[in-house]
Amino acid sequence: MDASLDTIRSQMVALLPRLRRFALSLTGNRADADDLVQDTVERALANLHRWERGTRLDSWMFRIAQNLFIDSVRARKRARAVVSGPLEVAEGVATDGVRAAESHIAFGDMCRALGELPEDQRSAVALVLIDGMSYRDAAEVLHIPMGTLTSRLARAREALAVRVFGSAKGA
Amino acid sequence: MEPTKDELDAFIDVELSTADMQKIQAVLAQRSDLAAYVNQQTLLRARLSDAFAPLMAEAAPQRLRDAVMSAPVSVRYRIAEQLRAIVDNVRTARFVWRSLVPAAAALACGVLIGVRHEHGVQPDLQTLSSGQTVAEGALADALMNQLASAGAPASGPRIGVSFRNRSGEDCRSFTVPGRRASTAGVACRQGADWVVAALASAPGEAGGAYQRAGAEMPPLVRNAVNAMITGGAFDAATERAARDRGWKSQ
Repeated sequence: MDASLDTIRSQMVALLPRLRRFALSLTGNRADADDLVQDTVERALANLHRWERGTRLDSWMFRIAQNLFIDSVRARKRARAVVSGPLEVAEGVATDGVRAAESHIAFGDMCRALGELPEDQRSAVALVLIDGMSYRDAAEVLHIPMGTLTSRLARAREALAVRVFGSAKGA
Repeated sequence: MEPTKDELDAFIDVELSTADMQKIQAVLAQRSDLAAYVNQQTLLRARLSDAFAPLMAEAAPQRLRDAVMSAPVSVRYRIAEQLRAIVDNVRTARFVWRSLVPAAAALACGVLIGVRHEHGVQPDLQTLSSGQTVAEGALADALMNQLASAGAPASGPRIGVSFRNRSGEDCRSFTVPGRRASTAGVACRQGADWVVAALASAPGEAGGAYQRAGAEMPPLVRNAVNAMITGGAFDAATERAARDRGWKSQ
């Protein structure tokens, strides 16, 4: 009876790494990222009747995560907290050795660079440049036209190049 | 032809057709300024991807996996799924519905199915104002007293398997034989009642297809039992003990 629910749960477990990466690139710190993923999972299961069978579960869950993130940003804005600007990068993603230190630096740099982007550009980067989604899928997740997505990406690319490489090459 | 910046970005993101990718590749071979842009942005993508690679290699925290496995699931989704499963079964088994509404009500109560067959055989059943269907008369008597382990009676209702459901109630599958059509179902003991959780028609004895109670349970009833059962079917001793305490589970 619950075979399809079991299948959905398995797909959700398989999606967790991508959701965590998306959440981390949005929030910039692991504790908030995992809270966001947990909220996303709970919201998805509680609203599973809204998911259209036959459509992509990953796109739907990324959209929930994105909406929850935007809600939390708005709530913090209302509370007059600092919302953009450099994100906290208290924890790295690897734990040992020289490579860990290197990846920690790379990760910290990247998170700071992402944190300096406006949230709408950060989401576009997280979906297309980091998750590797197609323009069409990313535009669908963000509920925006593809032209809006690509112009956000273009602005983000330039800002990130300056931040990461010191200057952006022109085209 | 000079590619636009959008086209170069689409090239970097592999969003162009193979032919367009090749065209831009050819332009880049001639234009070091455009190639420098593409190289820098390609490197940026790689850096972004690398920065998050260790996270992708990690196992997700237990609390997230727990959330996936145990967070409450939309009741509307569960009901829709169960109705879908029932409708699939009905289609498969060619059972005919009188009404989906009692089934939905039964599902909402955590019970499984309420189906009537169309052959006009009315076993000892009564539908209460609550919408629940309960066993009466000879059927209630058989559910209360008959032991499947003692063998099937020559006539009248027959009991199939007895088991404990997820709510901790004792349940029993039954068959009420008829000449043209038999009725099979599952009932669970709730207070003083045997509440019918699933009901379906099966070929009658005159048709010769129906052999022995329990052995040839209609798919709808078998699915219902499988969906409800916890801990396996009662063996002879457990069945007897359950009967002796009046099917009152602890």
